[in-house]
Amino acid sequence: MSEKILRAKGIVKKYGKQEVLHNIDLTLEPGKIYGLIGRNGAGKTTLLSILSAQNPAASGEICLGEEPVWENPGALQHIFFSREISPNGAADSSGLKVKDYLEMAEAYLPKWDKKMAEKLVELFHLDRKKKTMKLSKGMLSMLSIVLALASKADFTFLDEPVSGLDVVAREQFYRLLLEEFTETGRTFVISTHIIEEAADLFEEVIFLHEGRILLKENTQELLEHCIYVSGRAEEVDQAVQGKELHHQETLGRSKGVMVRLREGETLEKTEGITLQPVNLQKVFVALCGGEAG
Amino acid sequence: MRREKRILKMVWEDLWVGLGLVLILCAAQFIRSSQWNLERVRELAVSSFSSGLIIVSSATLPLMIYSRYSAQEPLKIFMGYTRKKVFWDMQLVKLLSAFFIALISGASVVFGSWPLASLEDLGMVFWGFVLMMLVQGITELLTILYLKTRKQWIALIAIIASCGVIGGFVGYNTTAVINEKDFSGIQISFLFLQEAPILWLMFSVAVCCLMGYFSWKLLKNLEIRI
Amino acid sequence: MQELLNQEKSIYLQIREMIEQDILRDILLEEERVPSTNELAKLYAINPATAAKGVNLLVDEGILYKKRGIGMFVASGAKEAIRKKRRERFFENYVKGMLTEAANLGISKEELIEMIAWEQGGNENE
Repeated sequence: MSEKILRAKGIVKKYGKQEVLHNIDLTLEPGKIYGLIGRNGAGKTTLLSILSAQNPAASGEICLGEEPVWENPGALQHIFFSREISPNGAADSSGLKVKDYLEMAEAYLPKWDKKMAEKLVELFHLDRKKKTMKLSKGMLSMLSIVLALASKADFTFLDEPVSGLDVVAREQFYRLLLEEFTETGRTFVISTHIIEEAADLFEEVIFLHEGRILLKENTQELLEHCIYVSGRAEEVDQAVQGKELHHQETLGRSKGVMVRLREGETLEKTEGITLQPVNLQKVFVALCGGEAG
Repeated sequence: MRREKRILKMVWEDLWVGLGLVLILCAAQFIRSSQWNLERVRELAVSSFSSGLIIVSSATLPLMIYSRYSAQEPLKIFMGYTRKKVFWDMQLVKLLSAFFIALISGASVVFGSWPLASLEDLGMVFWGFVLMMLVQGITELLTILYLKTRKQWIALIAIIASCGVIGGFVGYNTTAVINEKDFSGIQISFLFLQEAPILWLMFSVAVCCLMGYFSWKLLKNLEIRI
Repeated sequence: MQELLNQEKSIYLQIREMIEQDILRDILLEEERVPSTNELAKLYAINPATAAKGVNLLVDEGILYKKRGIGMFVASGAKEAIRKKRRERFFENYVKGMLTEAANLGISKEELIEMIAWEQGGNENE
């Protein structure tokens, strides 16, 4: 398995005059599951498609190890972006059938695992002969999951893989993902809206906010550094002085605020204030919710 | 499948779409006509597979290009195949398909006017080859333009144009079949081309290269959305 | 081991506590093999690195040890070590909170001691 690092340096992406990604630097290490979290329109799909050379960047470079990824088959064989297959596909892709995708994958993805693909197609009850434009949203998600898992690519990206899946199918996916990960140690980057469900799977999370990377941290560490402080307003203010605050709320004499501790900082646990842990979803909303502070 | 095999497979598909259509028209004519003799068969075959084949292919080849560039090729790029390889594979396919069709057409002409193969007729085959290259080049450019801009009208033009040509040709010959006239294809006189063949050839080559250049320029930074 | 994870504490800490709990309850005996981090990860649907973090804490504390190529094992004396550790934390984890809450409610020290005696006495009579 490749031990190379996938690096994005200074990526800028424009659509027309509008800049959607501003100078993104990102390092993806082998053997991790990353969560890419961001609001609609933050640029997640764009970033993933640039990382996998599906889209060119206006400036900046993507490198795998030392080599640039763009139009480089040697690098591209290690990367696969299984994006959402839309039913009204671009041009006439919607006329393609499930088996066309599978055959194409077999022909062009060097590490394609046909047995695994067949097993998954059966597990998901996918009809090979059906055209993608006739598939439900859930089935389309399952197809992109099959492609992603069976691609056996060292760096596999999934864009909203569970959209359209019911809760049982979602759990099935998480299990399959973990199984594959523990067996092969492939790197997965998963962008998702359903944060809490997947939070436990991510070793690191990347928050993408308005085209910029807000943070990239080890999930557990991030969660340990984020604490919700509540109690009497004055006591809360005193306890959180000088710290990074988010999402302050005042109700009568009480106040609640999320504190994000920096390295080495601690919070005094005094009487009169309550300290509570915050889950990933709440951290995300607090940091990317768009409110001031 | 290795790259060469993939290219040849695409060429094979191109040939059969054109040949298939011509065969059907030919068979229809044959069945319709009341003269069932060897001489008749020969005449029919020759006229169908010489000029007829070229005209039909000038419509089917572009259709194949449109279909590939809008569905299969983006999917290949999606799976890690480079745009460069896609482009050059397609150039080869265009060349080989046009070449083989011209070859079959030429063989038909020779077979038809055996033993006096007319140089003029063979010249027509050559210009047929040029026509096919031009038509494929235009469609390639238009299709890639469509992929880039997603403006529906571009695709529409390509489809309507080729459908129009096929439709016109099929319609013309169907009426010919109905009226039991000869399936002579459309005897469009391209004699003017023979007046300055080198010039016209250079012009065509230049146009093809230009179109190829622009096609590549658009393709090399194409965003893939499946 | 099959407890549910909750949001109260970091997951890897919960993993650690669950293993400790199992050792205390003799579900895991000393010198016995502990589930691997991959097995734990799959069981709880968490990232293996997180599971490893919890396990490694126990390795650092000497409660588990690694046998190369085979897996993680419960160290001998682990049970006692865990008991000792928890006794030291008992005051911090339970008593302090109890005293704070009692103070909030205006329960006096005498009342607390009475409560404890009553509960203990009740248990003895069972």
